Amino acid sequence: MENNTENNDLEADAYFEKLKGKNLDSGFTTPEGYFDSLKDQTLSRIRVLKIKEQVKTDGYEVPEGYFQTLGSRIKDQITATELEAVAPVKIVKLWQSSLFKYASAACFVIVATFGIYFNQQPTNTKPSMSMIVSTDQDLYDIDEAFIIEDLKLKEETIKTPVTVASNAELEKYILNNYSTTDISSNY
Amino acid sequence: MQVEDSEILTKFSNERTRDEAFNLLLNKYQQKIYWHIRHMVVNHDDSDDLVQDVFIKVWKNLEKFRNDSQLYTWIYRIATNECITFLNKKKHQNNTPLDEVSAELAESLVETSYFNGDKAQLKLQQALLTLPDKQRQVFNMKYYDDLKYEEISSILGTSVGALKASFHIAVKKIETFMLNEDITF
Repeated sequence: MENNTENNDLEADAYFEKLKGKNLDSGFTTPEGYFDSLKDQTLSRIRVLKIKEQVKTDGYEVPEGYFQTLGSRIKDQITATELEAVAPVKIVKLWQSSLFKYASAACFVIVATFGIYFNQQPTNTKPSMSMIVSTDQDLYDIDEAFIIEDLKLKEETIKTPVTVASNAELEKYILNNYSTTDISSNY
Repeated sequence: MQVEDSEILTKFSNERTRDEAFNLLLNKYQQKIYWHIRHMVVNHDDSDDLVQDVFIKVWKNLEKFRNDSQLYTWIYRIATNECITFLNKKKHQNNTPLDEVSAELAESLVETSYFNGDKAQLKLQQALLTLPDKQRQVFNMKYYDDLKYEEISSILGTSVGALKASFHIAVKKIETFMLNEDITF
């Protein structure tokens, strides 16, 4: 019996050595950068423990019975909010308001007054100085002979009488463009 | 024995048992959420307003809760956002710089009738108020609420790595403050 146990132990040891020889790791992994922050995290927790030893509670208080009534106050607020949401909306007709009528009348008077005032202002359409300068400059650039010729042409146009139509032509025009009724009504 | 969140959600989905479900939810979470808020905003009256606002939001939105996170992390997230909004509003209301808001909160701690702490407790609260809001939240959730980093990550939307770093810095600052004998009350 003892021999069996001893044999089992030996077998286990041999197996253990064999396993070690294979150099198999656990297969477990850690998050990236884990060990970089582990020290800080551990120190933080220790600091917190020290603070908690020094300061047992936060020192804050509430009025007596506060939490017993908080729930019902919240529900009252909810009810009030819901009632507000379904309350009928009061419609106020703007055009029936006296204030609206007086305001409209006042606006009309102001606009009309400005309109009349600006309409009565004389319009000055003096050409701007730059326009005058540019016109003068344009005239200066044009050849003098050309201007004289142009003026003469205009004079001739004015002096030359308009060709008068003959009686026959007139008669033809009237008959073509007016009805007998038109002609008779004119007399 | 505390009721399971799944039971609360099932009862809430049925109109007939909705009120009962909400009562169960309030009984289970109102204190946790109140203290979570109180540790951030310090003043009891402000905390009272905010905790009510939180549960009103829970009531309005619980139907839409998608079960993609735990119920309490969802409620915590609402509470955390309410606190951040409140503190930001306080800063912008009077154009108050950040460090002055913290100083205001620290002062209210001394003046309020709802703080009964000794010198060490007061010093710890003052130390917490020197931290940026988000760092303070991380510290509070680890220190007071004993939440895991994964849970805090789900609440704040910050990576676990960033939270660990934030917590480590916060603890160091608090330790320095607490050990500074020049700061006494």
